[in-house]
Amino acid sequence: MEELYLLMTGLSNSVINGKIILLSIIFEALPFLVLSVFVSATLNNFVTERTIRNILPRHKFFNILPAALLGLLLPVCDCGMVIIVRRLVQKGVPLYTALAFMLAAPIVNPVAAAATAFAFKGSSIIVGLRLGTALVVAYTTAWLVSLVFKGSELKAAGASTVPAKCCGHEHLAGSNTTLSFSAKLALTLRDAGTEFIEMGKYLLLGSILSALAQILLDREILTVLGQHRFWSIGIMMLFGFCLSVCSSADAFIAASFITSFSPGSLIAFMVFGPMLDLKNFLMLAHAFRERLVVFLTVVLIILCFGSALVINLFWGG
Amino acid sequence: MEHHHHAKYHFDRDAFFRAIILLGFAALTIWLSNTNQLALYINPRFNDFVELSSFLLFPLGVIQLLIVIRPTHEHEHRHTNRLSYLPFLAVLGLAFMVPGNMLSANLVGNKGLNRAINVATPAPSSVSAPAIYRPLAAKLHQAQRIEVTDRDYTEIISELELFPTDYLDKKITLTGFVFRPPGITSSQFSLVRYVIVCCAADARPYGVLCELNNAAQYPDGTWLTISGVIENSRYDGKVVAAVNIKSLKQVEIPAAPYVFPFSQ
Repeated sequence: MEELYLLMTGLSNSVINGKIILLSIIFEALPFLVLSVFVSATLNNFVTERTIRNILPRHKFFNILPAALLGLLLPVCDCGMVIIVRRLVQKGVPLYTALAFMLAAPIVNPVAAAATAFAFKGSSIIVGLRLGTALVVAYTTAWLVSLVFKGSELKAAGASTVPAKCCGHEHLAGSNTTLSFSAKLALTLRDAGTEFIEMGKYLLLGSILSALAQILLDREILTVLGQHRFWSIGIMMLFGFCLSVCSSADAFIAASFITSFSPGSLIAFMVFGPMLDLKNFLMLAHAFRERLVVFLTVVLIILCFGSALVINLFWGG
Repeated sequence: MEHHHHAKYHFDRDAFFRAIILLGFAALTIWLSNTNQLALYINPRFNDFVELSSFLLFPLGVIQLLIVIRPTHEHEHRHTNRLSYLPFLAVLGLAFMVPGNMLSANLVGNKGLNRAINVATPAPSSVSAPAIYRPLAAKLHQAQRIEVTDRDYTEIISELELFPTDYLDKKITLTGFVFRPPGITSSQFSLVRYVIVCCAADARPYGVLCELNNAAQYPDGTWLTISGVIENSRYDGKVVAAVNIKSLKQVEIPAAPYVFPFSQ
């Protein structure tokens, strides 16, 4: 009887812990999700493709590098990133430029840098390694994407991209210069709400899986492989993928592994996690074609793993 | 499929669900914020952002509500799969039904106690260890009696963990919950707080070892305010600071159970 009681309290504790972790991830992401759908809907209704084409530099190099460094001015979180990237690509921004921004901005920004410095008690080496690795991985990935994919790789119209098929006001979706400001505003609010639901469900699914992983995962299991030069990297990348914590908090998690894990694996955790985690992956897979998602995942795994291996070789991890 | 422009109205099921969900999330955040429950989930420095997003969600929900019933003249009605609303409804249900609470003590085992503290440099062999940032060391060395508050909780616990011999015989007062890490004796427990940077998903347990003869009568998760003297003890093969408890009081779970290092 007592065992049953213990089992039940353990179970109810786990349900409550799971609820708290789940809701905390969601509340942390909510402002960014809302902000992203507003930005996306505003771009859709107020900014024309021509404007965007005129702003962007012509040369690929001058396209990718500023996009990757944009985070220094706009310290963004990775939570709503896919929404913005999809809209930018729809508006004619080259796929590789948008992806460079998506991959680098959550890490190469002052907030994440400061948090990393604080978590590692002022170790500028770790901060440099993290930001440098992120920049190299983001740039290389974007460049490889530019070689392989020529089109937008967007999936066929989602709910917010309904083309002009109808005879009502529906076909006015998209930036239309003939509409009044208030009509555009109403359409913006409608699009934002629709996209919140469309993309939000993947964010919620990702958060649910992450919360489950946190409840079920005992970090003692992780530390068994921690010092292995090879496996520690893979474990930490998988951990970063499942965890879905934000890029200004993950440094503190990484710091808590410092005595048991190789330095390369910690960098891999802090670079791969913000670039690709469960919720981002689900949103990407919804927005873009499978071949791009697979390509991106494979390239990111290889590049993050490779950089971590180099770091371990130099640092004798 | 209707092609005519007669005054014919239809009920847009998807817009209806979207309105319910958007307004539901706005209501949830406003409710949690008004009942001061947001601190159970996220660092208070994000409260303004979350409240702002609830104010933005509200007009989004209203717009969807306005288009629930409207004249039919679209050629096609693409219905979203009903299942796709399930994650939202599940989260809203969970949030409103399951009682608000703090992370319980049984998660400390999963996360590992005081893991974040042993930080100097990842590769002691290759570079000389940089000076560790010790903002409170001078003040604490002077003090005869250390009162631990939320504001300096992480720094004080780090000092005790990294430099246990610096604080021998000083008096200390602190509050936290009981947790028993593996390998301690029956007259010991740890007094622990969760430290949170952004949200409860990044919670890390910080605690200090305590010595008490009748330790066994306080189960894991009991909140105590203790006073005692700092001694040195051995745990896990190394010297650690331990508080020899002289007096204690069982307390309610504080309204702000977590320590938020950057919000104060």
